[in-house]
Amino acid sequence: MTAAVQVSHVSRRFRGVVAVDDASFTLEAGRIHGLLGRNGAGKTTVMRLVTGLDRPSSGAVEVFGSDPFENEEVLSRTCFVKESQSYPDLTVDRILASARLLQPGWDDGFAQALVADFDLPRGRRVRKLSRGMRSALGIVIGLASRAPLTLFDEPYLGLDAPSRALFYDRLITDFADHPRTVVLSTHLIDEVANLLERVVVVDHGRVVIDAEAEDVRGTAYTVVGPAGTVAQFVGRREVMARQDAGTYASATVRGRIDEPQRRLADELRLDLSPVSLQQLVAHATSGGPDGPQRPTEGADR
Amino acid sequence: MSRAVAVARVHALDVQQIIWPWAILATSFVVNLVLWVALTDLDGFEKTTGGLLSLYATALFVAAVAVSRQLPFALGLGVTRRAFMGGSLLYAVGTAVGTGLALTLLNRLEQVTDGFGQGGRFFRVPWLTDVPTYQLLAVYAVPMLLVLALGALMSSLYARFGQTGVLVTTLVGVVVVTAAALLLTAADAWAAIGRWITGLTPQTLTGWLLMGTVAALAGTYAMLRRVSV
Repeated sequence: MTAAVQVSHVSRRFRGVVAVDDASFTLEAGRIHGLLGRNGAGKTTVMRLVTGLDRPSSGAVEVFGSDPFENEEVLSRTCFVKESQSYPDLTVDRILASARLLQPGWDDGFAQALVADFDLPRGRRVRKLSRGMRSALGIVIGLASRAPLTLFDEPYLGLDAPSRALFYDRLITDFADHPRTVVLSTHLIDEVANLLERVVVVDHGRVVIDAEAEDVRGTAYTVVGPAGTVAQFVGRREVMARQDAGTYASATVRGRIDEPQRRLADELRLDLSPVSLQQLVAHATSGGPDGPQRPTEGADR
Repeated sequence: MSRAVAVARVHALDVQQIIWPWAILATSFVVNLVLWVALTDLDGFEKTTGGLLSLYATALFVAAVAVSRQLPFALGLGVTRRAFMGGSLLYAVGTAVGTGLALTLLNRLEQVTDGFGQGGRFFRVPWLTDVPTYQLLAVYAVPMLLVLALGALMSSLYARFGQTGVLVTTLVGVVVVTAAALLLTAADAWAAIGRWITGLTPQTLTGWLLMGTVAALAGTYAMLRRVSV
């Protein structure tokens, strides 16, 4: 796999606030990446550094092998769709005409089809668009640009579920015909879990997971049953989270479900189920739904 | 280079940048024309006006807004700051030259119709445009380029340093001007300044404005060169 983006020991500080802290990861060419993490974790800053909108305080960012900052060769092959993108106050048609001028890979037929799909009013000024329509406009630009490196920073604000589904569908369909490096930063992890090939999870500016989505998905499971039996099953395994409801308990255990475990669970009449990507990311980033979780010392060794 | 040309074309798609100043100017012109007709019998009513200034004032504002809106949009679409500045300058020069040509034509039109039949002077600014016709283009175009550059400078100050930056710059400006005025008073140099001003010709003034333009452009470049948006 060739690297489209190489981030090496990058930090970005703003007046005492460390937005990105010694982050290193690689985005592979021709794959769809999820950049995941909580609000304020540093996702947007990372994408701004990758697209040369900002410079790192230390460390190096390489896109297609060179520093993206003020690099025409690199930047003309990138497209960054931001959550709160500001547009010149033009009609939808003219915004698309502008994007067409600036994006060498622009496919106008595709853009027009997407405008129809999202039911965007061509003649309406951006200022008069609803929040969801604005997001749809960003998505149209991001997809129709067919930029070799395309980044979407929470592009779905105000979009309803069918429109989001439409976005995922068009992305995956067009990606199949025109492979490119895609970065999708999102909170709605479960919605995109099947789209993502790789995930980079940031927390407090640090990269806490950088792995194949497939590998992350299977790294924990939940066991549910009578409290005593659950405790017996879990034994010395690493428990990421535990919930007690009277005599019943549920424990999230780190590790993969293998055959002996499945048999043991069957014997003990316990329920085993894999943990979703969303839950795993919540666990990996402190303050997930179950509060900060740290691996128990010496467990599962 | 082609990226800069693309940026200039993106500016051109934003027709409001042209429409606004000319709409304001047209309004001002109509108001003046009505006044000339209405007050035509008034003794000693001089039919001159500063209405042309409205074109330049609006252009300043429009340029500031255009830079603040187009910059983050263009950079998100993979335009470098350099290409953005180059393309914007290209467009600004085009606007200034276009404005100069249009105003030269209107100036001549006003001349041959004797002030649109009213003996008024709207496009023929006393003193400033009392130059040979071939020089009119520069006399009209250079101040336009200046206000566009100043608008871009204001916008880029904001983009680079935020509200505080604009505030501090304004304060520093006030302090510098005040200090200069005090110094001039102390040195008893006001008379010399007066002589310098009266010694100006439309041509030398245009030259000074051009230098101001270059300074504003240099300032804009310094602000935007490494700006994060």
